Amino acid sequence: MTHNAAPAASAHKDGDALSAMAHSEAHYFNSYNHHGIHEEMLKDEVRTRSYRDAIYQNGHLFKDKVVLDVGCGTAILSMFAVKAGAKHVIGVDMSTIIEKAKEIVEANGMTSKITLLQGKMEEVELPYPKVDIIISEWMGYFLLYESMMDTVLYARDKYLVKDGLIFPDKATIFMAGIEDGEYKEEKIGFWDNVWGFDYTPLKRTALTEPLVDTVDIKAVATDPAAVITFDLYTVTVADLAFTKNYTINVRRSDFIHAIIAWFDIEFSACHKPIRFSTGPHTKYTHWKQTVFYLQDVLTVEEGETITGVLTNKPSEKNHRDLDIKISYKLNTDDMHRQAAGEGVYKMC
Amino acid sequence: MSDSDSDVASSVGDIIEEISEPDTTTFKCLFCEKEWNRVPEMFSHCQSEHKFHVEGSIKNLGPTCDDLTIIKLINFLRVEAQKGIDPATITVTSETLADDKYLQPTLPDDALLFEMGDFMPDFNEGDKPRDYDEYEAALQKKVPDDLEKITLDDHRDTSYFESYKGAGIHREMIEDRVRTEGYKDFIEKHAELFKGKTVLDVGCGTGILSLFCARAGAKKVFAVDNSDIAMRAKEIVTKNGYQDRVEVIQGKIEDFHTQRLIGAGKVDIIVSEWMGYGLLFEGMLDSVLRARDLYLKEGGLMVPSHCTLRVAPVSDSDWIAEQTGEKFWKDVYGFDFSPMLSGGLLGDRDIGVYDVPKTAICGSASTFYTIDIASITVKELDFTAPFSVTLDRDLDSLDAFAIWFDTFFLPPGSKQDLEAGDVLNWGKNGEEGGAFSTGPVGTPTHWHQAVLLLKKEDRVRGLKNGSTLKGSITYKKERRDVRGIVVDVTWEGEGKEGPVSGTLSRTMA
Repeated sequence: MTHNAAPAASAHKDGDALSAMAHSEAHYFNSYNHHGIHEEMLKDEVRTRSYRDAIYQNGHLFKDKVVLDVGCGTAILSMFAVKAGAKHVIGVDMSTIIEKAKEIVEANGMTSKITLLQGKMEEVELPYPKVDIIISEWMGYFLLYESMMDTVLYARDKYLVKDGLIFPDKATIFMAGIEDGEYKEEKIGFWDNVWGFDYTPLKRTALTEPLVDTVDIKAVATDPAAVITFDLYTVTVADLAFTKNYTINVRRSDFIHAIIAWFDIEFSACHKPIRFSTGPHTKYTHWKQTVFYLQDVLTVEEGETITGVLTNKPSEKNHRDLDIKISYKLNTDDMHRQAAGEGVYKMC
Repeated sequence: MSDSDSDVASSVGDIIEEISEPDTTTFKCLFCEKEWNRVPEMFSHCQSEHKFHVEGSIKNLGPTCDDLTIIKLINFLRVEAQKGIDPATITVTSETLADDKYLQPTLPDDALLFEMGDFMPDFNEGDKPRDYDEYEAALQKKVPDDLEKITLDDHRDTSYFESYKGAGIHREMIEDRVRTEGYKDFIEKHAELFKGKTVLDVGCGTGILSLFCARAGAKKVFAVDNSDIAMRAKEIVTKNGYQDRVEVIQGKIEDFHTQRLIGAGKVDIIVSEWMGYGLLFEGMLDSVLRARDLYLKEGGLMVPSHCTLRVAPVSDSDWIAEQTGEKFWKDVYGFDFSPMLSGGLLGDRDIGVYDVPKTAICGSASTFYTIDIASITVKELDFTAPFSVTLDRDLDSLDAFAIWFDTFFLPPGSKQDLEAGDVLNWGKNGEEGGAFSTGPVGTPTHWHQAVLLLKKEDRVRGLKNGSTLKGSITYKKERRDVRGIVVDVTWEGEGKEGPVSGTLSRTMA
């Protein structure tokens, strides 16, 4: 979202950490009321088309089924499901956007087919005791930031019939290394000299902030490495805090300034499996990629590997924030280039 | 990689700005989840609700009880509370508190640890309250080496993360060249005004304005911010060798603590970057005016000194349709999404914030309110004022009003006529002081412009080139939220078929 489309929020935000914490929950739900967000998500063709195709191409799965749309927003997925032949769709969302969704559903003559409920998944009362299919677009930046996966899992455990289906059902996080000298200098080096003053105390802070941005495929100097796959049928909320080893193979001799991460999504219940990627090698999505700048610059040669551990856990203070650690080690025989370290990041 | 540190991450998360001057320091009760704004109130709550007499317990500790004992007491009581021990059964003795482990904060960012003055049995007037660095230094001295490492590193890191939402935003603020250079140029070109003077920076953020003042020769700068960014500001000040002249104070401007640190002597200059969207959104000027009344010497200088609010008519149905999403919502993957049109980002309820294209401005801009920051009162920030603009073309439709503000830095005693100068080239023709604009002409700023959209049925067609559009604009605080504003516009003009008029009311909350 660009500045000139910024919602009419504050130029001066109450920065008090304590009060910010208290209000963050409310804010999360309210921020989704702004239509700009929904517009951006719907305009994300990779996202919306993948869902549409997964649903439309599998009418045989949806026919006469009861479907639950978790975090339904403007109810686009609910309407896809009705068109695919669902008997009834229940859409649940915390946000007041549900009022708009009701109007939209009515404008499209689907009121009798779709029940929309505003509230927390844990608190609403569904018109059916069980559902056959759960559809949800729950993914956040870095897959898990402000994600609704926990809500989907709650719905799965409480409402999904045995052998029921989840759309989508697989999510995989990938990592790669990029050459990004110019931007790193601009983003991080900025603090070295601010109108003649030394602002380096903010440099460390800046290094802890992952950047959500589109990465040029030409900057990627390694192969992608799949780090963790979540199977929505079996994953539990506890699995969202994880520690995983990774190995990234260097594809060309270059400098590595940052590790990037993205995710792929799969609808494996489909007759012909449908998947989409949010990586740098494919079409733009609103999730872009997440960039983690490293303290050091690695000088890598083709054929070497970068190994390390990716740790992610929801922040104790605000479970929608993520505490992320990336340790890294360049495996090389060249003594002068050996490097290892650990970056600590927070998405908030 | 595209340059967009302002992607949805920030819009979902917030537009966060930590240099504001929030008034929300709270003290968590020693035993339960309740929060209090004042320590004494929390004490009486502890006594009535939890049957624990805090002041009495402190007295019982005897004359050797010092600040560090109190810190330990707070942490000890919080530990006991976490264990679920009934407060009424807790007895505190010097022995209980002998263990230095209680120097370690039980809660992260426990505001209570910074308000020890309220605990001291015999408060000594001459003794300044400790700030975080002194607290830390004291810890370093007293705590055994191994423990020290754990305590401080942990706490520091937490703080880094607390303030850390900030880096991107502070960068955006500092990088707003129009804004920062407006301040910098005035301060540097008028260094003689700052030389040897005492300055108060209200809502200092990362401390950039304080540093400009110090570099220009200020004798002493008090940099006040209630946010955790104050800790970072302190580091930055030290890093640049100005720690003797710039004193960073974390707290509210009217806090007892802040008042004592600034002392009885008043300041010569108050500098502050308090402006919000539509100038008054967020109401930070209220704090600046309070600071002025509390701390500024008679005849002292406000930097900036004046702001003017300006309004201009907007006519550009294509641009409007794009902002409202009109085209988009009509057909979304074969569905009709038109209900999304009302109440959108730019709709008939909220004030939108946009960079309005120059070409969409269809008439002259009218200054409808001037704020002299040295003399205006909080009451006068709710106002109704007339405006009058002349259209520079035949309008297909009058779509919206754009409101922005210009900021002026006049030296003391200046008689400069604000309207007579060119705000975009201030000083080129001998104007005094400095100025910058946040209008649609000139370099965009992070304030953009406030856009008040007319309802579709009110978008009058056929207003004539050269005709006058006049009316009045009302600014008032939102009733439910003092930081929000409501702006009403009434207007009348000359249409092809006689006079036309309208009203609108829009909110920013």
